[in-house]
Amino acid sequence: MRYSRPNFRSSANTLRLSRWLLSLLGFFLALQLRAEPSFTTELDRERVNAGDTATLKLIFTDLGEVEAPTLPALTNCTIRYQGVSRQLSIVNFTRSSSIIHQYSLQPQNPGTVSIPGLQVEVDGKTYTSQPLTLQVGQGINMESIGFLRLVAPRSEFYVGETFPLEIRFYYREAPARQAPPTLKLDGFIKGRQTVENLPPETLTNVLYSVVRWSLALTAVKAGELTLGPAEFQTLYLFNNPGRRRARGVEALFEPLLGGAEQKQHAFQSDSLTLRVLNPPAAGRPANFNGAVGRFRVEVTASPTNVAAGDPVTVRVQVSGQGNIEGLRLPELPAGSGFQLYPGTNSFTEGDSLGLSGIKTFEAVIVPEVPGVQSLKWPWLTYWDPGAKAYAADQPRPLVLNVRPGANAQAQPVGTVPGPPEPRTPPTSVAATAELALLQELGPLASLAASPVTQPWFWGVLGFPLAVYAALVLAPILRQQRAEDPKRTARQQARRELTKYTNALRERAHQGQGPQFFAALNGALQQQLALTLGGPPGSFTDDVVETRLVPAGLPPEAAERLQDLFNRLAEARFSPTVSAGELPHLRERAEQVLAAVRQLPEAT
Amino acid sequence: MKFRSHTRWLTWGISLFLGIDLSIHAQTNAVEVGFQAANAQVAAGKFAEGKAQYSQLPTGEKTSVALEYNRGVAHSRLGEVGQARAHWLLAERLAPRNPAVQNALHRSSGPGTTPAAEPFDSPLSWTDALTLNEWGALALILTWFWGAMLLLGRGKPSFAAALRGYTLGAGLLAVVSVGLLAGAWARRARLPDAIVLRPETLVRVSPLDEARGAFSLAEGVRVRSQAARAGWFLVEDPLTRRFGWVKSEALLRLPLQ
Repeated sequence: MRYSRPNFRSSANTLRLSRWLLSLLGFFLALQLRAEPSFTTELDRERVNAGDTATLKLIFTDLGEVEAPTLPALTNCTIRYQGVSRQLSIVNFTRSSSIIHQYSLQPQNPGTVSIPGLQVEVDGKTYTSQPLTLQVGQGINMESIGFLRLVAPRSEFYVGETFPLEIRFYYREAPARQAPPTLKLDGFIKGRQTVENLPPETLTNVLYSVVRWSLALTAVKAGELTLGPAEFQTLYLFNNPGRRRARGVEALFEPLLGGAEQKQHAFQSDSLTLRVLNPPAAGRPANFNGAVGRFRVEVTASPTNVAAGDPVTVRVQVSGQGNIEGLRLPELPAGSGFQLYPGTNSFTEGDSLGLSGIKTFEAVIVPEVPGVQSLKWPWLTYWDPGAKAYAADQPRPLVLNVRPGANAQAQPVGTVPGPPEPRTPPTSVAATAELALLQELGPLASLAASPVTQPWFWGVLGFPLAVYAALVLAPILRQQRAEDPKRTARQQARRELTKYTNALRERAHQGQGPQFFAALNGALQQQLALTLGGPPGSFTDDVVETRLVPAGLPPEAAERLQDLFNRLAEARFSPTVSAGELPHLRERAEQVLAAVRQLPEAT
Repeated sequence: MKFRSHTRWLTWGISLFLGIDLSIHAQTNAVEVGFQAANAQVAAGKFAEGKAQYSQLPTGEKTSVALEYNRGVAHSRLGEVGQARAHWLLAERLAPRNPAVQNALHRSSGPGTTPAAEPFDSPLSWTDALTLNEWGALALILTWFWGAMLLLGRGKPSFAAALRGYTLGAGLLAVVSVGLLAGAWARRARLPDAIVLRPETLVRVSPLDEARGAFSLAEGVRVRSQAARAGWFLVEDPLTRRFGWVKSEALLRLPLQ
């Protein structure tokens, strides 16, 4: 007989499957349970500011497809239908299906907007919603937060004239975000633009912060032209205490927005009407090519001494104010004797908008005819809007010494220039041709550097003043000495100290023992007299411990000084010294004297 | 005996003086004759010969305003702008108020000669009307006069009160003159001290014949120079502030006068 073990695992799986099927069955049963039909209304917030919008929702639950009802007129409030949405929900195994019609309410003035209970009839049954109240606050007047202005330097310009235009934003509260301002331009070309903060300004007793955008504009057509308006898009965030707490997806973003209300606002400036004129035809120079402003032209050339056919680099620099960046290099007149090959040009702005600066043209000219050639660069004629007149600037003529081409050899860079060859005199020298020779030789003089550059001259110059100063100062110094004997004594001690120190070196060098010790004693006594006060010759080794160490003499120096005193005492009885001892003693003596000299002098 | 000895010394002294004087006179006479001969050459259109004769005059290390001026004229007729201006500038150093020299310099600095002729004006430009020696002499005289007044007042106190006004005035003038002397010196020291003698003189990056050329200087341009190596000058163009090396024969340095 075979025994079979019962299969417990199989029983557990069967039980788990049964539970799952029961749950599924319950869910489908729940879908069959329906909520009670209802009609409710809801506002997304209880309080708004005048001009802002609130959303009213009409929620029809399990009432089937209900058309959007027409709301009764509300006092002081504009109503706009926004649309419909559907919502399905299951709560506690009860299924509900809702249709939501949304309306935007925009109250115009502060106060209260009362929304009465609304009635709808569905399938012969009347449903009534609860009445609602919307509180309307004072609101935010964006015009009081800031405003935009256009500022032009004048109201009349000329075609081709470049001028700065300012867009100024005066504000009491800075926006959270902003886009650069836009400007309607008709008949103007916009150039460079800068932005900067200006110092705050007080207008009608209100302090405004100011930001300024500056633009370079060039007028391109004549007439009464309208400039602007300028528009400045901003985004402000305001705290709104009446705002209902966000739900659903909105609640996810509430922390990012900080619970503040966003308000997008475009500030708009007034327009400007500008009168743009053409430069007058009367008196217009023939070579006027539309340059408006005020300019100066300088022309330089290098080299100025060339062979015919050799290139000469010409640099034309136009500086001034106006539409300088757009200027073109004037053409050379036909038959000038030069070929012009335009090259590069560059502009160095004088200000951030490029309204002034220097435009540099580099070109190559090739002289064709040998001889002294004078190249007159064409006049730059322009209309000066300040003076309201045409003006012209012509650079000084370039004078080139052009050698015949057959003999000309370009001088390569890096070679030494050869000896001077016979040259054709340039006009500047030709201008000196009529200089007459001087017939009187006159006195001969040296061309050496002036005596003024020599030191002895200044000594001679100041000699009488030095004598006078000596005569004036000598009695004063004498009197000072008489009035301050201590100072005189100190000066005397210093002189003596110097004398003894020099003697130390000499005697040590000469190996004269007795004289060396005499000088050593003298030097020590004079230095101690300077440091401790009192007459020289009165100091013994007692002062080392009693006065010098308390005054700050380092222990090592004190020990060496004590040794020196001892050696001096020995020398009185035995002045002979061994070879090499004196230089060693001198060195130690100088170290000790230097250490004592570091201490403050007695007064 | 004593009288005879004195007479001998006196005779020797007079002879020596006369000898020196005659020698100087003869030399000056030779210079004068050579100068007139050179003038005649230039007047006859023989500029090269006249130029050579001027340079051979036995003047030693001395020169004169007329000599430098005429040498400048001879060079200018030959088209040697730099040499001409160099000689006129030397003449100007000796006689800054000479109208002929000023006229020549003015004409030679016309358009085309230099990129921007003589742009070296300053508030003290008017001090160029006197030479440094003249400013020095003026300052010396006024300062010594002031010192004499001070010493006189010191030695004779009775004069001091009477001379106080004069002493103050003299002191003021002395201080002003010394100040102007210092200003004139400082101005001249800052001015370019050399002139380019050759056309399109190449300025090299180092003092070697093989060195690369950095830029070139026009003939007659004034530059700042420094003799830093034998045969070469370190020069700076005051207009562009570029610098480099130039061979010494292409440049003439002007003395601080």
